[in-house]
Amino acid sequence: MAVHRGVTIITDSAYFDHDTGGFGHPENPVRLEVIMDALVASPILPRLDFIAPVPATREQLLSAHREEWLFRLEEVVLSGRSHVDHSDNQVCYESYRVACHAAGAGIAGVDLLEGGGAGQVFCMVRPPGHHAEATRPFGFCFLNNCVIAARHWQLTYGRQRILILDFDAHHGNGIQSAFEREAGSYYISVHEHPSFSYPGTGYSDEVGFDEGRGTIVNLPLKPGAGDAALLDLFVRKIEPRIVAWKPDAIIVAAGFDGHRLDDMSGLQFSTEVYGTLGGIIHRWGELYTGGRVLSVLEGGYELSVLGHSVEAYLRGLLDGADTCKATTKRRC
Amino acid sequence: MFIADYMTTDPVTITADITLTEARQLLDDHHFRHLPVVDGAKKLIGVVSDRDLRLAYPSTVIEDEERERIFQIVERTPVTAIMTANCSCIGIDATLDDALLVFERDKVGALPVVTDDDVVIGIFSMRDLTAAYKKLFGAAEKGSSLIAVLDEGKTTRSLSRIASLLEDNDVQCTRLIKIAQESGFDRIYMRVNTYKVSNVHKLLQDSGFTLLKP
Repeated sequence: MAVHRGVTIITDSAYFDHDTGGFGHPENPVRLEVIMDALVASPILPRLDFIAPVPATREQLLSAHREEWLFRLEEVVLSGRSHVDHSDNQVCYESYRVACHAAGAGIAGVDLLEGGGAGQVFCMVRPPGHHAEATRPFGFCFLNNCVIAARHWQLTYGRQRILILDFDAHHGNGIQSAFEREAGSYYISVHEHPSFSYPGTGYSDEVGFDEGRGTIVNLPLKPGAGDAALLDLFVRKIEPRIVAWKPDAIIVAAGFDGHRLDDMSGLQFSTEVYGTLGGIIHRWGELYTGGRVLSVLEGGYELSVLGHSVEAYLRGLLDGADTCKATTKRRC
Repeated sequence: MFIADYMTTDPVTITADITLTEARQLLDDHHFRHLPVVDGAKKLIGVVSDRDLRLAYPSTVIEDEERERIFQIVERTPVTAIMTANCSCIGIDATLDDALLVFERDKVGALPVVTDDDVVIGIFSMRDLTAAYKKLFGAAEKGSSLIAVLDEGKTTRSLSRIASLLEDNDVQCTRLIKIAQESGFDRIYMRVNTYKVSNVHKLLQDSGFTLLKP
């Protein structure tokens, strides 16, 4: 397989089939349309490859979820109910199938990276996953795409030390609950302070339990925090952890709802800061994980900026921090 | 709201003949900090804490010979020599507020829970109190977040209005508290269970409430 130094986008038309009850719901298919529009209009388009995944197998899902939850989710959607557990978690008849496709994207990405067939990988999926726990849905999430990918990396390729880095505006309670009792897998989350934001978890004193104590790092930001506060955490708090932990691979739970125009959080990030994050993560991949970086779309709901934010992130991932700084000056 | 829901039942207790060394070993083995001392009928006669024990042991900076001499005394000393007799305790029907006030008044870290005839049936610690209030107010409850508004007196029945507003818009509300301020407007706190927190902000603002933001 030829070595590819662009970004491989793993996505599927199936993701449009997860109907959340109309466009009043923030997690709707137009999210992927606006991302695709931004990528098609971007100068980086020639450096992007698009591939479709296969759905995750039952066995792969069971690496992160309990069987009773898979049965329950499948039963709920096939019985025609509109939501699972909470009215936020809207579903349709196709939702289980689509969620399996979304979980399959991370697995395909891991396989690509391990086969040397990709430089960077971005899984452009929905529904998102980082709130989903082993037995419960939360916050539009049903299957935890990042955790399923992490388990695939561990079980199939023996890369035990997986770090999931989450910059979605909301704490990824599902990732934390999967990792918080085990040594050798790590979770770092930057998010809006849990007193003011969904899902109400991710306080800085949540550091893991038992053998996993110290493997969880929560870095909450107060409502109103902007680019400077975010980047300060990346430089001062996150990079030293990566240096100390020496992960074999990084999975990025890439959420774009901290944007200042996205009303799903009170954070005030700019479009261009996502480019800077992409650049930093590119550099960390080169320095610390042999290039093994997999990014998975989580949140991001303001349609006027979501596409541009993702495009900026991919630009940063492609070219690293230096190029990103140069290009982001032109964007605002 | 009652301590009975949060206390440790059937706690480890010791009798008056237990030595300081044995008591310390018990605390180390079980990772707690307070031991009720009871008589043969399980009636409370005192409490010994890890702090009491630390004070009884020789300092690490004194000479070895002197330390050894004190150790030998400590090994023979029964807990009754250092325990707090007539200690603070609380009844099984006490509320969390009762316990809070006793903790505040007596500056202790745990309270034996006793029957009317002083038989020890539980222990309630400051950590239990914290856990109880955490549950009562829903702090770190998965799926929830806190919203605060000022009650500027623009309308009457503010709590009823907020409750109706949330219910009418299918927003799950798990806590709704109004707290009077000595100066300035009263504050209303609510814990809502929704991803779309900004929608709730808008609903409240459109209804005339001023959001309290950090």
